[in-house]
Amino acid sequence: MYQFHECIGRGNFGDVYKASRGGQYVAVKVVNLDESTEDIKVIVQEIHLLSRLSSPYITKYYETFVRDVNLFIVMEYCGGRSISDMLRHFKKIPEDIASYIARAVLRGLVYLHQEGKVHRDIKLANILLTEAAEVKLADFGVSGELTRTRAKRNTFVGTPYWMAPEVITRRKAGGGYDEKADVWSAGITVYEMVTGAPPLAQHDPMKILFEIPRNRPPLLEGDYGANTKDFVRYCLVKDPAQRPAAATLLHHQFVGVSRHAQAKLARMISELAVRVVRPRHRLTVEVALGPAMPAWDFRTVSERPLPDPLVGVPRHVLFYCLHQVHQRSRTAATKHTVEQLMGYLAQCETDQPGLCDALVEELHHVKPE
Amino acid sequence: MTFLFKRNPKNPPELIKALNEQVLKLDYNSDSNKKYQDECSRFLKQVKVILHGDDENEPQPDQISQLALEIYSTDCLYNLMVNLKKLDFDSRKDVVILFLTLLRRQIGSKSPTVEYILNQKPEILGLLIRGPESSEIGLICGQILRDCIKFESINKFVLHSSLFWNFFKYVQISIFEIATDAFITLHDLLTNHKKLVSEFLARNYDNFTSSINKLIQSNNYVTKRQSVKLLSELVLRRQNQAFLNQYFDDTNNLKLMMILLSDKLKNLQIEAFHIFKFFVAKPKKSQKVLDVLIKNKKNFIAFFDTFDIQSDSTTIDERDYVLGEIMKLPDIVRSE
Repeated sequence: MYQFHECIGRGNFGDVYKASRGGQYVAVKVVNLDESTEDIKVIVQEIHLLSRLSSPYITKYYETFVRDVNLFIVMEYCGGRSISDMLRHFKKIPEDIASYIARAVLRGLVYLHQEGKVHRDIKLANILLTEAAEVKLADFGVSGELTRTRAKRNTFVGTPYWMAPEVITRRKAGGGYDEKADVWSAGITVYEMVTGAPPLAQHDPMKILFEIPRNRPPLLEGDYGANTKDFVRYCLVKDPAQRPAAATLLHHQFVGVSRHAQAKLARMISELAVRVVRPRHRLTVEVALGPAMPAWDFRTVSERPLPDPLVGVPRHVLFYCLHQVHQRSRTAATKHTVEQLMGYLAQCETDQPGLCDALVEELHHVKPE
Repeated sequence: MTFLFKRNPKNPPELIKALNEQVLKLDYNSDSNKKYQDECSRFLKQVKVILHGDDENEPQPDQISQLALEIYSTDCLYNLMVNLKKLDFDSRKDVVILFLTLLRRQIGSKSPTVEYILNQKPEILGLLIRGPESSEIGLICGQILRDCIKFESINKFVLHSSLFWNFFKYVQISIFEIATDAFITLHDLLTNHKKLVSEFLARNYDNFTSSINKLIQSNNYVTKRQSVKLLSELVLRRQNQAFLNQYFDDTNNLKLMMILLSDKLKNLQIEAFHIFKFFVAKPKKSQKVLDVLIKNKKNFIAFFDTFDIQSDSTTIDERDYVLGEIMKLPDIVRSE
C-alpha cells in the first residue's frame, strides 16, 4: 500500500500527509469519520464530485479508502508548497508571476464553473504549486466543505478577507451564493500576492465582516502596473451580477501571456524547502480505553440456537471480544494467533466450565487508573 | 468539400440506425475501435441536439417522437447499455443524457420509456443493477438506475428481482466510489416509495434483516455507519409497521444494537441508540426481548448513567426515558 511520510498540512477535519507508492508521491488527506458529526452522506457526495473532475488546473483525485474509522483520500502531490508559503518567504510576488498564477486560477475556475461547481474557498493557501511551477487549485470538495462547516459553527470565519460581500450577507441570511464569489476571491488573491497582504488585513476579522458588505470595494493603489490595478478592480465589483465571469476575465490584458514567468516561478519554488507541519491527529488510531464494555447477557429463557454472527465460537462475551480483535488484525499471522487463542479458550471452557465468566467478572473489577 | 459545413443528412430514424450500427461494431480488440468510438460519439452528439437543441436549433417535438420510436423499436438503449464500457468517457455521459431525457418524457399521463423498459426490455434493468460489477461504468449505471426507480413501477420491478440482493454485496466492494454509490442506490430503493417498501419489508423480513445485519457488522466503518443509518430511517417509518413488529421482537436485532451501543465509536453508539430505544419503548415486547432487557437491567443502568450524548436535548430526553423504562423492569436474581 502507501508509505506515509511527513505531515504537510493541517485542516480542521483532517491532516494531509505526503505518501508514496511505487516511487510516486501523493498527498493523502486523512479524515477521522467518527470525530465528524457530519452525515457521512455529505462526505461521500463530495468524494463523488472530486472523482468526476479532471483538469490540469485542479489537483487530481486518485482514490479513497477506509481503514478503521479513517478515510484516506489520495490526491495529486504538489510539492507541498502553496502560494501562501511563497508569500511568507518572499513577502511579495512579482506582478508578472502573479499574472501567470492568476491565469491558471481563472482557468481552474472556468473548468469548475462549467461543471456547475463553486470552489467557495479560493485563497493563497489553496493554490498549490508543483516543482515545475504548475498551478493547481486544491481543497475544495471534502476539505473545503468540512472546514467551512466547522468554521461556521465555531469561530464563524477566522480570516474572512477573501470572502465576497454577498457571501457574508447571504450567509447571515442563510442563503446560497454562486460562482461569482470565486471571482471576487481571485481578485483578492491577486491583491494579496502583489502587496503582500489582503485588503483590510490590519483590521480585526470580526469587524471586517461588517465592513466588506458595507464599504466600497477595495482598490489596488500604489506603484503597481495599470493592468494589475484594472484586473483587481474588475474582480472586485460589489454586485455579483455585474462582476465578470472567470471565462470573461481570461481575456483581460493582465493575464495575457507572460514570458518566462513559469521558469522564474520554478526557480523561486526551488528556494523553498518543504514545510513540515506537526499533525494534530495521529495517523494510527489507538483504541481509547473507555469505560469497560458491559458484559451483555444475551440468553433468553427459552434458549434455542440463534443464528449467531459469531458462527462456530462459544456465545460468550470473551469470544465476542476475541472476535473483535480478530477483525482488527492487520496480518494473517495475527488472525491465526487469535484463532488459536479462541480454540484454546474454548477447550479450557469445556474442561473448566465457568472459567470465562470468572475472567469477565475479574475484568469488571479492574478499574483503569 | 472542405469549404462547406457537412450537411446533416440524417433524419432521426436514420441517425439511430447509424448509431446502432457503430455501437455494434465496437470491439476492444479491433484496431478500428477508436474510429467506431468517434462515430458513436458524433452520432450521440447529434442525438443530443435533436433532444435539447443547440444555439441554432430548437428541439422539435415530432423529431423527438420519431427518435424515441426508433430507439424503442431497435432496442437502441439496450445496445448502448451492453456496450457502454466500450464507449469513450464523454460518450458515456451523452448516453446518460439520452437515457434520462427519454425516461422523463411523458405523453399524457404515460411514460413511454418506462413502459418500453418494463414490458419489452427489462434486461436493461438487469444491466443497470449489475453496473457496480464494473469499475468503469458503475457510477454511470448507478446514476441512470436511480433516475429509473423514481418510477414506482420500476422500483417495484427491481425490488422483486433476485438481483436486488446483489446490492448488499456491491456496497462492500473495495472501490470506495462504487461501493458508496451502490449504497445510495440501495438507500433510494428502500426509501423512495413508502408503501411499496413497507410491503416488501413485511414479506422479506428474514432475508432483509439478515442482509442488513451483516452490513452493520461489517469491518468497514463507512458501510457500518451507513447501514445503521439506513435501518434507523426505515424504523422511523410508520408504514413499515408490519416489519417493525417482527424486527423489535427479534432478540438477534436487540443483541446487535446492544453490541453497537457499547462500541468504542461515538457516532455508532448514537446511531445504535436511536434504534435501541424502540426495543424499550415498544408497548408489547416479546418475552425473549423482555428477558434480555431484564437480565441486563443493571448493565443498562450503569451504561446509561455514563452514556455521553453531547448532542441535542431530544436525545438526552430520550435517554432519560429509556433509563426510566429500564428502571421499571423487574429485578431478577441471576440464575446459575
